[in-house]
Amino acid sequence: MNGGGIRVEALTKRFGKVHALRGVDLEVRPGTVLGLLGPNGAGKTTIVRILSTLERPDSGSAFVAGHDVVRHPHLVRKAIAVVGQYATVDESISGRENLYLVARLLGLRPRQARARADEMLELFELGAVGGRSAGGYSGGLRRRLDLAASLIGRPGILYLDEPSTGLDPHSRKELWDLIRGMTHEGMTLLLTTQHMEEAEALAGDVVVVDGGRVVAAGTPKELRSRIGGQMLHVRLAATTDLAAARAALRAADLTPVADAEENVLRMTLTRDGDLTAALKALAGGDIVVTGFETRTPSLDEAFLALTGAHGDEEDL
Amino acid sequence: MSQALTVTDAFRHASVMTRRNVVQFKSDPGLVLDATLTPVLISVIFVSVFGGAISGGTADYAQFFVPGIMAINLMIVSRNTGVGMAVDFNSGVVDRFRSLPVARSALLSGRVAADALRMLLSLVVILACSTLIGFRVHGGLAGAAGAVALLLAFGVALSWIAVCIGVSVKSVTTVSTLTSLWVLPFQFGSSALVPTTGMPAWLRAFADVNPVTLVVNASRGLLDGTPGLPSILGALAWIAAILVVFIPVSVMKYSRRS
Ligand SMILES: Nc1ncnc2c1ncn2[C@@H]1O[C@H](COP(=O)(O)OP(=O)(O)O)[C@@H](O)[C@H]1O
Ligand SMILES: [Mg+2]
Repeated sequence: MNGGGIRVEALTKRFGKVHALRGVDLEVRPGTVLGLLGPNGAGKTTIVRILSTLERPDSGSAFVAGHDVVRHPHLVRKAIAVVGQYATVDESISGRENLYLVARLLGLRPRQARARADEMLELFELGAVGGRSAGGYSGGLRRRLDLAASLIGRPGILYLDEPSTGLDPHSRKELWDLIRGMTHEGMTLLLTTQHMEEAEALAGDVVVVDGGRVVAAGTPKELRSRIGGQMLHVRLAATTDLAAARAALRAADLTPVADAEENVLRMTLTRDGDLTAALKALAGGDIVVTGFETRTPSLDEAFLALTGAHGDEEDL
Repeated sequence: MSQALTVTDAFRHASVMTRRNVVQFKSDPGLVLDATLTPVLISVIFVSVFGGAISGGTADYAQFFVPGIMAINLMIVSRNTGVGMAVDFNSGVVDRFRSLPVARSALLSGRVAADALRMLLSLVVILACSTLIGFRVHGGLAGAAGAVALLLAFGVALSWIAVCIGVSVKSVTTVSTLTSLWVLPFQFGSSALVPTTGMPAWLRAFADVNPVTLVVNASRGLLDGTPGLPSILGALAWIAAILVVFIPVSVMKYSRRS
C-alpha cells in the first residue's frame, strides 16, 4: 500500500500578531518517515493542522496525496489519519465504543466495525480496558487508543504530533516499537517531536523548524555532521557575566549558545583553530572559567545548536 | 467543499453520531433526569402553588399549564445540546471528527437527533404524569400526536439555536449561561404560564408573536380538541425560519472554528 506523499510550499499562517509559520517548505516522499523537529512554539502543530484540513493557511500551498488541502479537503481527509498533540478520544464513552464509532464513520457495517474495533483493542493491548470509559484512561492508554482510532481505516498517510510527549520512558519505547511496526507497511509518516533522539529512532529524514521557519533539513547523520565533530562546553563562575563571555567568544568568530540556567556556553568547533581561539578569547578580561570541556555532541545538543543559532539571530 | 459526499452519507454519519450521544446518556444519567424528573416536579409545584391563584382551580390550571411546561422543558433540554457541543470542542474530539472524511453536519445533527429523543421522552413523560394532576387530552390520539410532533419540531429548532451558541463560544460555562439566558424572555413573555390577555400592551405585542406562544397555543388547541390553524401555521413558520438560519450558520461555524 502506497499512500502518496506530502508537499508543502511557502506556507504561512498568522494567529493575530503571532506569525506561526513564516514560509515553510517541506516534502515527505511516499512511504517514508519525516521527522519534524522543533522546540515548543516552532510551528509544528500548525503545520500538522493545516495538513489535516483543520486550519487554513494564509498563503502558500500544501498537497497531500496529490490533493490541495484548501481546495479538496475531503479528498485529503480520505487519505490521512491524524494523531493530534492532545488526545482526541471521546472521554464520555468506552474505548471500544470510541473505535466502533470511528469504524462506523469510515463506512464499516456494524458487524465489521465491531470486529475491527476488537481487533484494534487486541493489537494495541487495550483488550482489558476496552469496556471502561476512556475518561479514566492513563496518558499511555489514551495515546494508544488515539493511535488505534487513527489506524482503524488503514490510512496511507499518518501524522503523529508529538506522540510521546507526556509518556514515561517505558511507554515511550513501547510506542516507538508500535510506530516502527506500522511504518513497515509502506505508510507515509509525518512525525513531530521536540527530541532529536526520537526523530532519529523513527525518521529517515529530519526537517528542523524554529520560529515558523525551516532552519535545517537532512538525515539525522547529516545534521550532526553539519554542526561539526566536536562541541565545546565552557562553564563559568556564577559571578562571571555570561553575556560578556559570549561577546568575547563571538569576537573570536565562534557561535556560542548560552544556557543561562547552568551558566554554560556551548559552541561547535568547526575549524582547527577554534579551540585555541576560544582559549585566547576567554583568557582576557575578568572571565572566570570553572569548566572547559570538548565532547561529541549529543543529538539534542545538535538540535539546540541548530535552533539556538537561529534564536540568537532574532535577539539582535 | 464536501463534493464527494452524498446525502445518504450525511444521514449515515449523522445516525452514527446519534448513537454516540445516546451511548453517552448511559454515563450521564443527569441528561435523562433533566428531561423527565425536572419537568414533572416543576409541573406539580406550579400547579399546586399557582393553580388556585391564577385559574381558580388546580385542574383548570393544569389544563392550561401542561402544554406550557412541555414547551418550557424543551428549552431546558436544548441547553444541554449547546453545552455538549462546547464540551466536545474543548475535549479535542471534534478535531478527530473534522479530520475524518465525514459530513460536516454529522456531529451537529447527530447531537440534535439524540436530544430530540430526550425531548420525545420528556414530552411523553409529562403527558403521562399530567393526568395525575388533572390534565385531560380531549383531542384524541391524533390531537396528542399532533401536539407532540409540533412541540418536538420546535424542540429541534431550539436545539439548533443551542448548537449555534455551542460552536460559537469557547467556554463551556459561558455556553451554559447563554443557552439558559436567551430563552428567558421567550419563556416568560409568552402564553406558556399565563394568558397574554392580562399582560401590559407592550409585552402583549411581543408575547403574541413569540414563537413559544404560537407553539403553546397550537399545542393547547390540538390537545383540547380545538385546533387553531393560525397558531399552527405561525408555529410552523417560526420553526422553519429558525432551522433555515441556524443549521447553515452552525455547520459553517463548526467547519471554520480553529
Ligand atoms: N489557535 C491559535 N491562536 C493563537 N496562537 C496560536 C494558535 N495556534 C498556535 N499559535 C501560536 O503559533 C505558534 C506556533 O504554535 P504551534 O504550531 O502550536 O507550535 P509547536 O507545535 O511547534 O509547539 C506559537 O507561538 C503559538 O502560540
Ligand atoms: Mg505542538
